[in-house]
Amino acid sequence: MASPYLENFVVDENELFSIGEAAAQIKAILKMLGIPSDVIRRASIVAYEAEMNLVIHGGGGRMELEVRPERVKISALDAGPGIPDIEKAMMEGFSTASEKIREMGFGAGMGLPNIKRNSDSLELLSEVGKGTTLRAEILVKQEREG
Amino acid sequence: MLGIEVRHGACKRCVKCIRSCPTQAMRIYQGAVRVDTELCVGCGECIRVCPWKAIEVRQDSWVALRKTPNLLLTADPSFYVQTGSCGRTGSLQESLDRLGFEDISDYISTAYDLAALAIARQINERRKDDLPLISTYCPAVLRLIQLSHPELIDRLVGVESPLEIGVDHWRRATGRAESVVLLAPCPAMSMLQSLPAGRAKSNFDHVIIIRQVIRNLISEGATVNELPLSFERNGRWLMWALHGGETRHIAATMGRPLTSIVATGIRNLQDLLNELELGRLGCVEYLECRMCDQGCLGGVATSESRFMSLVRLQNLNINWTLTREERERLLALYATDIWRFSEPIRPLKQKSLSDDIQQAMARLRKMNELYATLPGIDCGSCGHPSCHAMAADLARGEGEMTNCIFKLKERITDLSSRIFELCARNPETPMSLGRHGRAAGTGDSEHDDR
Ligand SMILES: Nc1ncnc2c1ncn2[C@@H]1O[C@H](COP(=O)(O)OP(=O)(O)O)[C@@H](O)[C@H]1O
Ligand code: SF4
Ligand SMILES: [Mg+2]
Repeated sequence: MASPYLENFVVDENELFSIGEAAAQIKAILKMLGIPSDVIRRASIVAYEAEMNLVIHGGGGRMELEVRPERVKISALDAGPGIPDIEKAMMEGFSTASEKIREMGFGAGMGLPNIKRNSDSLELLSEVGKGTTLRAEILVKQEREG
Repeated sequence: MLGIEVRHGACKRCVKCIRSCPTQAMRIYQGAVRVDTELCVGCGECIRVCPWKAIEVRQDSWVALRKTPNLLLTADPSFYVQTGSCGRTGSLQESLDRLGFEDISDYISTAYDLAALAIARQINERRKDDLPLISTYCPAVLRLIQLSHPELIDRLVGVESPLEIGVDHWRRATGRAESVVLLAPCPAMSMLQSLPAGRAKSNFDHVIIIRQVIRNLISEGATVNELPLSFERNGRWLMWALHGGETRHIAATMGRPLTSIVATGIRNLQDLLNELELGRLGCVEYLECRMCDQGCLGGVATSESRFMSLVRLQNLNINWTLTREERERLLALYATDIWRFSEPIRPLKQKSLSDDIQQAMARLRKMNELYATLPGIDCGSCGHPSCHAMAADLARGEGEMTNCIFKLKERITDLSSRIFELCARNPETPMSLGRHGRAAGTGDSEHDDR
């Protein structure tokens, strides 16, 4: 099988004001690769929300893009505080974002639910004090409902 | 057909146009500017930046059209504020009347009222989560979305250009079928005729640009009187020429404030559409997007300063309230569905590296390698709009690396140092040995010649 297209992005903790840069680059790459627009739309949302969480909660980290003709995989990895209760974190509206972050318009608690809704498979691994790894896949060919 | 035309004779290949194009639709290939019809949105930026006036809006011949009998003419609202004194608009409709063009502006202004009503209804009927809707008035914006933001197509408001609706309305009401000329402020409006979206065929048979007609009228001594009163009574449609005018009209129809963002210029539009894609425009109901600064007053094919026409438009006494009869007539028209697109707005094919993802992946790797060797200053001398676009084109197999003057210089430096090195060598050929006469026994020929 042919090797996938890989790309890495460093996401700096202090990038609150330029947030979305990695997501924008991911989108540009997917366009160049001729990925169908619906897949690009979903992948962009996943990448953007994952990037936000890296900056706001994870203390910065790294993002990975892996493209194969049949699917797009986006990962976000950090060595931040971790998530104590993943089930709770996945709930709509749940957020531990500070008042300050919320005043800036972030932290509505919809990030993880949005990632879930827009991906075909989602893996969230976290250990308190060690960090968090999120991996989301979006299938290219298969039609998806909802 | 494209909304622009390149006059190759006047072109000096200075590459300003290809660098200015927001969709990177232009290249210089084999010494001539080429425009990719699929990618051109008709914004007119290339026309603005060309110092040699080598690019024009595509239009028909005004000289010929003036003499054509039984022709009607519909002007974009921006036309009516192109002349006049400060705070007063010239009576341009009268000038057109004198040329023998029948005035159908009543039908057109009604169509603008109808469009505002139809948009208001669509906003009100839409689920809050699926707002904001995006205006389809500026054809350049519409095309940009079809091209670069296909995922936002379902956000486009499903209401046709009121210019098209107006002619439909006139044709249906009068049963007449004469040809209609569109007086356009920009290449995008010219493309409304030649490359319509959302309908199979445009109502317009010809296009003339506003600047052409105004210059002609003025050279023939057009009077700069006041706008006819009938226009002031229903001048709502004229305000669409100014950014914010559409929003104002829709809000007046709704009878409540409308939460709308008015954005003009490619940079603002790109930022705004990206934010919408990321779902960040929560409480906003409508996006009034225009390619040109100030709106259509800033269209590249207008003749007057956009600042002056703005002053005139702002000083008009607009009556924003519809009479009861007007409202009833509108509701009856609304029910006929005349305002709807007759065909769906489809995404336009994006320019990827290949139609085959596997091949595109290989080319993207190649492109990254090539890009890393380019200087990254986006000078455009290679005929490609940026180093990035150059790398992409090379990966597609279009163009030559040595079209880059820096790479060419590198090659020349390389080659000349090799030549230099070769020159310094003393090859032991019979001839050279003979000429220098250093070697013994083999240099016979020279001696023989003597
Ligand atoms: N990378 C991460 N590191 C630590 N905690 C995280 C991370 N990502 C998400 N969380 C936790 O999960 C919660 C929910 O995340 P999310 O749904 O994106 O909402 P929001 O970011 O608006 O708070 C966050 O408030 C945070 O407590
Ligand atoms: S804003 Fe008006 S003048 Fe400018 S491109 Fe759009 S329709 Fe044409
Ligand atoms: Mg989040």
